[in-house]
Amino acid sequence: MAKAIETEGNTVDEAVEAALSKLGVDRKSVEVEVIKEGGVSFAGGLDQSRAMVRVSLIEEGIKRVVGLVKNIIDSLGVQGNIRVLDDESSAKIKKINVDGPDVGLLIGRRGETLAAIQAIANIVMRKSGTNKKLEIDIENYRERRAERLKEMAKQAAERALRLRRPVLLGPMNAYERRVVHVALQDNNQVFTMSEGEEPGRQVRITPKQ
Amino acid sequence: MKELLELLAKAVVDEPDEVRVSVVEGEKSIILQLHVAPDDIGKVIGKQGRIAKAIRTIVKASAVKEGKRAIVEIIG
Repeated sequence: MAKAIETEGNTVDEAVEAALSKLGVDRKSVEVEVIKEGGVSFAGGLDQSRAMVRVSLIEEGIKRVVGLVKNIIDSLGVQGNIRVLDDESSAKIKKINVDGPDVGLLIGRRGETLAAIQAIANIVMRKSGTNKKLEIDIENYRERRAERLKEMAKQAAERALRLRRPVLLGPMNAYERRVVHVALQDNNQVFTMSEGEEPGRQVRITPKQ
Repeated sequence: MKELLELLAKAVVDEPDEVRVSVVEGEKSIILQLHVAPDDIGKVIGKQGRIAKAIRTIVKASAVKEGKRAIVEIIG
């Protein structure tokens, strides 16, 4: 089922070319992973080693996932438009966006329905042979939530410094905690740590001595 | 709700043809029994029940809309 093949060639480019002609697609619709760089190795004399690449179809995975998300939305009786974002800033993450009048149901309490849909979507991504991750956002919920968390983290850090004692933030999921840790990693006056068990895991912000 | 559960289960298993959902409907709650191929049970449960939890969360969102409580049981 996984639409991925491995090919060899004298150079990486040659190996990719071979894969493309085998799959009958162009360079834009595939993802290339270099398994072995080709070239001449001088270590033990002249040993021409061949390049090896793994080429997988990305569009396949994305198309199936978009279809699945569309079906989930329809089954929930929500009207939503799905857009696949052409974000090339990250090679590992593919983003899709859902917009519509009553998409709140798809987000759920503290984004848990959104997280669930994304989890299922990523299983389908993996099954279709791409190693890209899918990130779903609904009416910019993620972005807005991240902004709020960053602001919250900043204020809590200030409070910890003012009171000279640790400040504990409310329970958050892994993704949200990460936003807090990243937001404060450049602040050299405090350090952050997660404690407790899911789903009640919390971030503790402690002033450095 | 039944179709939604079937859709989600079929997305994660290796043998989608083996997916069956039977429904026991009460006044306030609805019990959905999910049957999958024996080799696929692990797939619908996932590591530490993560996938089962995700499936339940989505089905519950659908139940909220219908004003019911939904219980998803996984049966091999």
